[in-house]
Amino acid sequence: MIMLLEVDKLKIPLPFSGAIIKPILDRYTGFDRDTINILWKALRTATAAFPVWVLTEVQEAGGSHIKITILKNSFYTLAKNKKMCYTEEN
Amino acid sequence: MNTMGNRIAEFRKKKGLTQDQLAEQLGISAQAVSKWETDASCPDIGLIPQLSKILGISLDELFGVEPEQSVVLVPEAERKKPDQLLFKVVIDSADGDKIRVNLPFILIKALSGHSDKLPIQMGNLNLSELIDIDQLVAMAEAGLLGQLVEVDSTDGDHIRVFVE
Repeated sequence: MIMLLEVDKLKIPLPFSGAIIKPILDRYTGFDRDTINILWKALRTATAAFPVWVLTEVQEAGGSHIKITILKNSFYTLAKNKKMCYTEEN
Repeated sequence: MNTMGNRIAEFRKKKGLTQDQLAEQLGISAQAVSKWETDASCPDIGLIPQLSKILGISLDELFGVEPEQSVVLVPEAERKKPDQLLFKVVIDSADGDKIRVNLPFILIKALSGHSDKLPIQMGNLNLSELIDIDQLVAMAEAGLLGQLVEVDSTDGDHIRVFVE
């Protein structure tokens, strides 16, 4: 899974895996390990249901545009299909 | 305020613009605006997005489309599977920022009961303080779809939560 961070025309693909997300949840929430595991499982299930999941999109009054999308695809699949440019529909 | 011309005139006045000022912003003549407002002609389709932006209204408002029923109760047999449901949080801040967050139901469900531990912070707003997530989950499970929450904060932020 990939978290694609877009800031205006800049696109930054980041790995979206348990090894990265679980420590973040541990650091920034008061959840115990079991709850974090449940949340991570829910995140994975959500990604299966919404393969291109636009988690958040911000259009700042100043003009900046920020978008975070969780993609079910792997880096390998993205590179293979050259699908770093995508639409919400695909 | 039934015709398009009446709506344009009404929203223009609400915005405090004269016909000349509106025309200038659109790069057209004041006579053209006058014709729209008397329903002698209609705005060119290419000008519609810019016109709605200048007037600060949605296209639905410009065209006089009545908003759909905000909440519907879906019969049990016709309901989506829970993992296909999506919570959409729409925030229009007083500063003019537009924030959209899409959270799958399954994730919200996993959070229910723990929402106090998760600071869902958006700008100056802590959504977990404003919105009862457990209650939202219960409403979605009962088959309610549509706009379940609408909050106008004292800071001027406008928050809506939809379930689709």
